[in-house]
Amino acid sequence: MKSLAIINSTAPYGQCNYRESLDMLLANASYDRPVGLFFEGDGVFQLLKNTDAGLTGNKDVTKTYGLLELYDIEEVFVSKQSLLKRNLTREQLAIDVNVIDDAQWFVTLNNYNQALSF
Amino acid sequence: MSLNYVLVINSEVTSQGAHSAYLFAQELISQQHTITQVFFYQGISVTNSLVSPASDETNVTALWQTFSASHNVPLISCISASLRRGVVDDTVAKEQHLTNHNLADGFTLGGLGEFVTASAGCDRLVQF
Repeated sequence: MKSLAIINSTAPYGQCNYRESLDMLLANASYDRPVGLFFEGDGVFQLLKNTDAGLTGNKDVTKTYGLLELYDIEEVFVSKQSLLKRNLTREQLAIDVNVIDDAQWFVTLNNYNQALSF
Repeated sequence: MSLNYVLVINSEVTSQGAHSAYLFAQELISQQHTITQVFFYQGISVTNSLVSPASDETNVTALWQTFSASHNVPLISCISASLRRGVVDDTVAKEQHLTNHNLADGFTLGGLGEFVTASAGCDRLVQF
């Protein structure tokens, strides 16, 4: 079974990318396929804690991200540069992640056979 | 060397990606590769039978229909993404008590599981 990386680079709630990326992730994980989850660019906003998605008529995505361990999804990577550019720190994120720099980003992505971007 | 491909279409019918995917698929066949599945995920508007572009514009839906019939390539449309965007087949329309159905001929609704099974074993996964 080929491994799959899912890359999120869009902010949540403006489009349904965040939800359909999550559906894709969980569907693959439920078939025991090795998956990795990557956040870069505005995608890092998906991980912010203390957001109130209900105000936008959406469900809070971080609640589902909190359940990733139940699906044995432990490989979660966030771009260090993307956090820095947005003046965000690891402490502001809702879940435990691996913060990696640009050099590690491509090396880590290269560990996966396939990738999908949202 | 012949490879097995799965294509994911996240491009809407009005964007170039939907047409580029078709051109790519054609080229794969002409180079003797196999396409296990074309999976329409976010590009659901491509599967809508009510899409009717002006006569001097390209009808991407029709191109895919002809392609699928000629080369026996399954066009699977994600059922949850389709429902979200208002594209259903006859069966789903009845289940959901909807008055109409509009999934274009040649396309089949399927779950994400069908995509997982196809892509987990393919040689190349390409997203448009």
